[in-house]
Amino acid sequence: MLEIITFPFFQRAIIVGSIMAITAALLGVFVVIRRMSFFTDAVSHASLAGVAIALLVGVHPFIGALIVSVFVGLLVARLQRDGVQEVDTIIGVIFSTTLALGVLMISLMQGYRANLFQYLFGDIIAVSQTDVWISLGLLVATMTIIFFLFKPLTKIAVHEDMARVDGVRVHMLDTIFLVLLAAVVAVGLKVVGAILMSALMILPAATAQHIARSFRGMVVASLAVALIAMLGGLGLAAAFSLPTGPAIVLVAAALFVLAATRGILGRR
Amino acid sequence: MNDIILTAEHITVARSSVDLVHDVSITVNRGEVVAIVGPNGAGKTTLMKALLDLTPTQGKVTWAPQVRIGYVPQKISISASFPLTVGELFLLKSKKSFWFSRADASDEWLCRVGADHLSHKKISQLSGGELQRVLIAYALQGGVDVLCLDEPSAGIDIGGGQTVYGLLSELRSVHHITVLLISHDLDVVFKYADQVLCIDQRMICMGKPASVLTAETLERMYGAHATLYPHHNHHDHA
Repeated sequence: MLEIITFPFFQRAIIVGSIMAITAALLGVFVVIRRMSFFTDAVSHASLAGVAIALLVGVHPFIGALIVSVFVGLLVARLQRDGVQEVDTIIGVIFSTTLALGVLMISLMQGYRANLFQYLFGDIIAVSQTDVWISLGLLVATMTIIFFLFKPLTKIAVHEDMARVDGVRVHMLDTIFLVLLAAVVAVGLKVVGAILMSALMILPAATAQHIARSFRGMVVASLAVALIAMLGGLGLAAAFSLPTGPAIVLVAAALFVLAATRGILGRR
Repeated sequence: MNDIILTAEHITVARSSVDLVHDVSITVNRGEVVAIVGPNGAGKTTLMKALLDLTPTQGKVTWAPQVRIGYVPQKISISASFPLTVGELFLLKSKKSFWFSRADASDEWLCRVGADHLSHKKISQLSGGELQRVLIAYALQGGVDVLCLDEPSAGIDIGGGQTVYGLLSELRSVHHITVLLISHDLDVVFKYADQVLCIDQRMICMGKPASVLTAETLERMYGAHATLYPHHNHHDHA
């Protein structure tokens, strides 16, 4: 089994997987504390429609997924601000529509039907050297932006109006955060796929909430849980010939259950 | 001549063609405590948000140049699983690094509101009174000229309320901080406010509490059953 580690495709999978785990977990912390989990679902499901459009017009699927995810994210944020309808209703409509659209378009394309499963559930083993560079660039960009915006983003999570009075430009930061989120979702499509992408973001942060005694602790624990889930999932997938995306998400889910049980028992 | 810190002229806030606040004007002098009173749904919170540029507003709001404002909303709903501690909250506004500074170093204002022992505690685990004191200290952190409080004693016990209003008194007399306060408690308004603004969507009156909080004004705001009962401690109550 250990022999697989010597293969370049598996080494690439480990590198890209680890980078994606850290990036998604870092953003996931803010997704969870701002209660945007359902929102992440909408963006990740919408990315599939972006992939389909990209394949239709002949550009890299990453570009299509990125553009559609950003568009959907901004649309949901705008509709929410305008108070058109309850946000969960808006998200429910958008994410099911875009997912259906994406699946339908890819299914109708000659020769791409086999790829549908890959985009839905990911195939990290298939990542290329270009994917390594894209994900590395994304990690550097995310780390830099979060480093500089960490305090204002946390202030927004505490209370938006208090943050505004403190001079935080909430709409601008929300837009930056949304673009980052969409970029991570677009790159993450190859790792865990559109269906499971939000789990990669939410599960580590949700697990960390049960362990951490402070927000700093939550961030660190979230990164650690994400890495353990990614490497554990890859290991299990290699050992038992399992699909990688679901294996990674199930390890993350198992860690969540452990932490939540410990948290519940600890409170008794 | 008084030093004016805020002038708001003809403030109107509308939602779906309904005016939540209609044509309210107010002038606040530096160092004053101004109370905004009115019945539920009168637009008090909306007016405060309009003054703070937190909601789309018609009219003109002018603050003194370089004014520093602190704001404590009526309630904050931090998720029980958001593990931000009080110490970490204060690091958010501090120039210190969030990651490499001690989160238990007490802030001056945190000590002053008697909440320095809470720095290790998660925000989500604070009681109503503790949270209110922490939020006031947080709003004052780093020094402010104006403090805006939306019902600071809502949901806290008598002791907590006394601490908050004792602090209000100190802010005015010692630190000369201007306070804009939304309150339902007319006793507090009589005791601490220099001016009171009565609204019920529209402006009903503005002036010194003793002059404008008359039986007639209260009846206009709260209905015919509202009246004033003088107490023996020389403060009027409604």
